[in-house]
Amino acid sequence: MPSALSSTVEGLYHAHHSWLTGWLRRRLGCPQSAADLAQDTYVRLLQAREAPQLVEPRAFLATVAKRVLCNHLRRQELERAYLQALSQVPEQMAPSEEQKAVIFETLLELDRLLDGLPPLVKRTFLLAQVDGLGQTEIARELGISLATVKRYLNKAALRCYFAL
Amino acid sequence: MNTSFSSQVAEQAVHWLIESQGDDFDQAQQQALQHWLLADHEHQRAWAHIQQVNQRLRGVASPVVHATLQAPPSPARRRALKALLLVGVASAAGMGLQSHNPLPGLMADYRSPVGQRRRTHLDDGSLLQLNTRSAVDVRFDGQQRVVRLLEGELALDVARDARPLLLRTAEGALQLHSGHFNVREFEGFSLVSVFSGQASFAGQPLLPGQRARFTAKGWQAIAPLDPNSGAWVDGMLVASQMRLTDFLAELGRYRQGQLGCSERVADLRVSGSYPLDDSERILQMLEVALPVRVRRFTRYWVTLEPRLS
Repeated sequence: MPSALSSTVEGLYHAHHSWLTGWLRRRLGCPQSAADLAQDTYVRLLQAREAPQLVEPRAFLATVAKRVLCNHLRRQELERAYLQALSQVPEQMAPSEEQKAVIFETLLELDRLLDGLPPLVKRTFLLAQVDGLGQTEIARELGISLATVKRYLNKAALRCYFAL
Repeated sequence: MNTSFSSQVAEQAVHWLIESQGDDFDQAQQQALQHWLLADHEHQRAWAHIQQVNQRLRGVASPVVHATLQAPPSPARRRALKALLLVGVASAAGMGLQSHNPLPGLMADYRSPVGQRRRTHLDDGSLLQLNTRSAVDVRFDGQQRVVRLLEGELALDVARDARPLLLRTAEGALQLHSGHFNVREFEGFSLVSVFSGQASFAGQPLLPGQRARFTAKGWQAIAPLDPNSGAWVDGMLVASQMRLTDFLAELGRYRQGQLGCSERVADLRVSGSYPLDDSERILQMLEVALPVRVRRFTRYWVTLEPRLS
C-alpha cells in the first residue's frame, strides 16, 4: 500500500471521524450501524489505488460514505426481498441454512454487477445463465425477438463476467 | 488469480458464449470455437473465467433469484442514490469492483469439468483418470514424480519406476508404490483406497484391500475398501442400500446446480448400477424404482419428493 495513501486516510480519520459518524447516524438513525459504516468508509478509502488530492475533505468523505451507505441499504433491501422470496418456497424445496448464506452472497455480487441494467436485460440474463433456458424459449417467454435476446445477453454478459 | 482481460478478448469470449448457447450452434461453429480457443492462451483464460462464474450462477438457481434481484429500491436508498448523483462520483473513482473468488484448479495441468471424466497416460506410463470436477497438477523430474490432487477425485495406476511417486493432497504427501489407487478430496481430509500396491505416510502403510481417511496426522478410520467406490472409472455409480439423500449427493457431483430431496423420502434405500453419463435417465429410473417424483423448478434446481398416490 502506498504510504501517502495511508497517511492521508489516517489524517482524515483523526480530523473527521466523529463528524462522519454523526453524519451517518443522522441518515441511518442507528448509532451502531453508523459506527460500522464509518469504519467501512475508511476501509474503502484504504483500497484506493492512490492518495486522493483533497481540497474539501468532508465533501470527499461524504461522497465515499454515501457509496457505502447505498451498498448497506441495498444489502438490507435484498435481504428483505430474499427472506420474503424464501418464505414463498415450499418447505421441502427450501435450501439449507448453509446454502441460503452462499446463495445470498452470490446474489449480492450478481446484483452489484448487474446494477443499472434495464430490468428486462437482467431478466433475460438470469433466465439464460441461472435458469438454463434456451434462447428461443426466452424469446417466447418475454415476447421479444431472438436477436433482441442475444443483444441483451451480450450486454449483461460483458458486465457480469468482465465488468465492462 | 488474475481476472482482468483486454476488452477485445472479453468481447470475443462473450460472443462465443452466447453463440454456443444458441439453438442453432452446429458442428462447424463448434470447430470455430475450438479454433478460437487454441489460438491464444488469453482466450482459454477468458473462457475458463466465464465457465467458473457460470458454475456459481447455476449454484443459485432457484425461484428466489428473480424475486430478490427484481426488488425495487426502498425510499431510503432512492434518496441516498439521488444525493449521490448530485454530488458526483468522480472523486470516488478507482474504488470499484473486487474480483471473483478463484476456484482451485482452473489453471491446473489436467482438469475435468462437471459431469465428465478424463483419462491420461503420464510420461512414466502411469494411467491417471479424473472423475467429475477434478483438477491435478503433475511434475516429474529426474528425482521424483509428484501428482497433486487440487480438487475432486482421481484413480491412478502407478507404473514401476526408479523414482518414487508422491501424491500430494491438501492434507500432505503420500508415497504410492506401483499399484492401483483411488483418492478423493473432502473438506479436511482425503479418502484413499488401495486396490493393489501400497500407500505409505511417515512409514505407516495402507495395504491392498484397505481404505482410510488421510489427514495431516496420518491414517484414520482404516476399513476394508468399498468395492463400489472405483466404479466411476467405468462410468457407473453403484449403490447398495444407500440412503436416497446420500445417493443424490453423490449423483449431484456429476450435475450442475442443486439436486436434493424432501426429508420424507431421504431414508428410502437405493440399490443398483446406474450409468453416470446420463443423470437425467438415473432420475427417471428412480421414479420407477421408488415412490418418488422428480420436481424441477428450473433446469438446475431439482428435488425429489413423495409421489402422490
